[in-house]
Formats: sequence, C-alpha cells, structure tokens
Amino acid sequence: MDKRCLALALVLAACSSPVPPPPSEEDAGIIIGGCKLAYLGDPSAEPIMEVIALDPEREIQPISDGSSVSLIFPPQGGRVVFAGVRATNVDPCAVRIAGALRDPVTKQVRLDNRTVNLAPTDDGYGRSAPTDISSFSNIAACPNQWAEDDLFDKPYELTVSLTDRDGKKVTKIMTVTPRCDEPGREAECLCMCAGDYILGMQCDPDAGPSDPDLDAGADGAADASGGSP
Amino acid sequence: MSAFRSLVLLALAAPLFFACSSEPNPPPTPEADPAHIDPPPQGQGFQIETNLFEVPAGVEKQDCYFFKVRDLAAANGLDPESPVYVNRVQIAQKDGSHHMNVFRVRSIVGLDPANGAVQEGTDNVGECFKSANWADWPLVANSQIDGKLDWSFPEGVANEFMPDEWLMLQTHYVNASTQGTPSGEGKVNVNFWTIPKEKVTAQLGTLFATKQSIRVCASNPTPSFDGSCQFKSDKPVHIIGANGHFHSRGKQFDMFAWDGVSGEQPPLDKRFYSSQAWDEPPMLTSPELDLEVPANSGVFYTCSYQWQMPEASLGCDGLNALDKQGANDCCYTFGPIVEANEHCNIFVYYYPKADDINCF
Repeated sequence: MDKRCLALALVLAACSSPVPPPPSEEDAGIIIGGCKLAYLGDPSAEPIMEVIALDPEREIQPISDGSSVSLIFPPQGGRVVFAGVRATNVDPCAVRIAGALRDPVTKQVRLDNRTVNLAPTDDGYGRSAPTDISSFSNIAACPNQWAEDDLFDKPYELTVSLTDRDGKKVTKIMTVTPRCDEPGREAECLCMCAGDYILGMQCDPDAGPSDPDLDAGADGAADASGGSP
Repeated sequence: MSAFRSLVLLALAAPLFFACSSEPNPPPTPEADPAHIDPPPQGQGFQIETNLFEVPAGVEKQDCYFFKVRDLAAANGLDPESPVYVNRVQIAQKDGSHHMNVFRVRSIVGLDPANGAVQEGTDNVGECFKSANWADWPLVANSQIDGKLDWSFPEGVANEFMPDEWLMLQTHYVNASTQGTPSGEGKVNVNFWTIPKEKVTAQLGTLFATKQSIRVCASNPTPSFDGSCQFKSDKPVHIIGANGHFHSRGKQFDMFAWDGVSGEQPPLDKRFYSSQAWDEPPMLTSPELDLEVPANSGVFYTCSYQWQMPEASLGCDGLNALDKQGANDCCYTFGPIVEANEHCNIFVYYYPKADDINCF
C-alpha cells in the first residue's frame, strides 16, 4: 500500500464509529452480568447433597445405594444416565457437578463434569432442574464401547460430586443398576448397551442386535462395513 | 461525524480507494487455487471432491457428499473387489471452510446415500445439518484449517476400507460476521493415497467424542464441560492425530492422555493438545504428535467458554427463540450455526486400531 492509500485508510478509519459501547445491563429483558441466585441454606454449615436422576418420564428420582437408574435416549442419540444433585448450604451459582459410572470389574469409568446453576426450590434447597438436562451430569453410557459386560441389569458404581465456588465439596459413591426401561426404546437400548456392541451395528428399535454385513478384514469384526444401503 | 457525512466522504473517496487496488485478478491457476490438488496417479489412490458451490453473505452451507469405495477403486485403477488401505491423506479447501469431515456410513436415520450423491443444507435446514443422522458413523478424516493438509501416517499404518462401504464427505462453509468466505465460493478436494495390503503393519483407528447438552448462558457465563472416551484396547496405542472443535465463545480446549479409570482431570504434563483458537484450531499430526498411551487408556477432554453478547442482528431474542428449553437466558446451545450455537467435539487418530470409537 502506497502513502496515498495509507492516508486514505486513516481517513476512512477516522470516519468509522468509535469503540462500541459496553454491553447494556439489560437485553430483551435479561439481566446481563452472571448468576444472581441467593445462597442456599447456611453458608457456615457443611454442605448437604442428595443424588438425583431423571427417570424415563423425565421426572426426578432420588438415588441411593442399590437404586436403579434409567438409561435415557438423549437428543444426540445413544443412552445417557442423567445424574444430578439436590443440595443446600452451598452457593448455587457455577456449581461444579461431576458424575461418573464405573465398571466394577475393570474399574473403567465414563464421566461428565460441568458447571451449572442450581435451581432453587421452596425448601431452601437447589437442584438440577428436571426441565434442563444440561444441569445434570450427562454420563454417556451407550453405545457401549468401554464396559466389558452389558450396561444394563448389572451393578455399576455411580459417583457424583458437587463443588461450589467457595470450594465446598461433597461426594457420594453408590452401587446402582442401569436399566433399559424407557418405553418404546427398550430394544435399541438393549442392543447398543450390550457388552459385545460394535460401533455401527444396526440396532433395530423393534428388535435385538443384528450384525452388520461383515467383510473379512485384517482384524475381523472391527472392520464391519455395515450400513451399505 | 454524522452517518451522512461519512457516506459522502466514502463516496468521494471510493474512486481513489479502488485506484489503489490492483487490476482485476484473472481466474486462479490450478496451482493458485487453494482447493486444487492433483489426484494420486492411477493405482495409487483416489480423489473425492465437492462441487464448486456458492456461499452467499450471511449464509451457512453444509453439504453431504456420498462415495462408494468400490466405485472409487474401479475408477482409479484399484481392484474394486478388494479392500483399500489408505496411508496418506491430503485435504485442500477454498478459504472459509468451517470444517470438513469424512465418515464411514453406518446406521441410516435421516441421511441416506440412496437419496442422492449430494445432499445440501443451508442455514441449519436439511438432513446434512442433523448430527443424530451420523451418530454412529466412524470418523475417517477431518480438517478445520485454512490451506492444505498433507498427512502421511507412520510407515505401515493404514486405514482399511471395504468395497461395499460408503464414505460421506461433509463440508461446512460460513460466510457470516464471525467467520467469512472471502471468495463467496466453497470447494473441497481430498486425496486418499493407498499402499498394498502386504505393506500394512497396523490399522488406523479413530475416536470421535462430542458433548451436546451444553449451554453457555448469561446467568452462567463461564461454564466448562469435561468428558472422557476410551480406546478400549488391551494393548498400548499411539495417538498420532488430534484436533478439537468449538465456536467463538470457546476459550480453552484441552485434551489429556487419561488412564481410563481416574475421575479427575489428569495433570498438566499429560496434556497433549491445547487450543484457544476457535476458528483455526491446531491440527496435530504425526510425526510431531506420536504419543504412546497404555492399554485400556483413553482421552480426557475439556471445553471452557466465556458467554458473549450475541451479534446485534441476532440478539438475545434470536438466541432465546432457538432455545428449545425456553429459558429466556440468552443461551448458546449445541448446534452447527457458528453465530448462535456451540460445540465441544474431539477428533483423535490412533494405531493400532482396536475399533473406531464414538462417545456422545
């Protein structure tokens, strides 16, 4: 760019608007500026947490040692355990929820950790909101490419932790039994959560697992070429 | 300065400004076209390509192209009845590509090669925009970078494709405010170079993971999301390729070598990938990346975000209209539209293959 062009560029730049103003404090009725939720319970008390999970009707169920947990069809496909919390004596803003499902035999684990705001309830508690699946730890259990055995009707270890912004932390570990109990979706769940599932295996919603067309490959089943229309 | 005076000055200055620019450019030569690469010679591989397509201002295009391996082999001097073994991938795209992915076609949901070799999508409309359609389709190759990618796998490592397999090439171009397509046109070429079966010593495997229940909201402005995915291999494996994908609210994307059993984030010395560049994320490939990890291990990944006020043309009203939860919290939710949605995806390449892995 020669000097003439540089000068013109400077002139044009001078014509442009100044630095844009900072975002307004309110946009479309939304108060901008982060979480405004009040503290839950007593800041000086130890945190109290209960583990909850969504059931097939998307209702909240309390989870304790020996409970069943549902393997739910999420928007992206597969099957997820929605593991959440109900808690008090914590700051509800930017709570860290950590959920993990562990194979008790191999110790392999699937986990999902996330930052959420707890939805206050009338009793001084806050919780993962049943209408907001992103406020639960979304533990992606199936397709089962990690556990040795079936992921349903067998005991697995569920760990759920809550950590608030002040560093208050509480963890619960329990044995649960995942279930393929979502009405109308059981067969597909039983297929993709089976211990011998292979990615791409056609899981007919109305039937059990069926192998894709397999071509003889260097490492056998892993080279399934199914899905050819 | 008033808008009127600015416009007057701009009008007066425009001829001078254009006089500064060079003469109109001739059509690019093949060598100058960033999407051009010569195909492999007959018998050494094959090329798959998209059409040259328009990406008008303000538009996001996402198109899906289908190719049958048998047809590709037959047209390029390879045995159409035998598997092919790909040892080198070259990707060339016109500037403005948001991403380019190649998958193996598996379960048919709403995206079916029987419905046509090219299936187009525009502004989040069309089956090529619906990620559930390829939820169990194993990753083959991907690129998010401008310019050309030329990656030769380690000697003897190859990706095996069966004659009856379909491949799907998905191209996503954005010509919007946060990402542009300078020429207003998109085009992708991908070369797959093959080696004879007898030279194959290990197969390449891929791992793809995505978090879809993510929200970046005004009331929770700095969220982060962690996930994990195992290779499920009873032998050590080598990680030889990696890249992460999020949109412009994304601030930090990390991947760690992970033992498969720990619930906590691995220490920093286990981190092998880090990105703060949402629109041009690093694409790590061998030989620079060649990380051996133990049997039964995997990848731990984390995506961190900073909420931003949406573009004025979208506004919180626009985001709220897209939020299926109706939370009225100015949330960016999962989805393909760069201006309005967020992502948290990892693409990892490894050998020897135990299986292709998807975690979602």
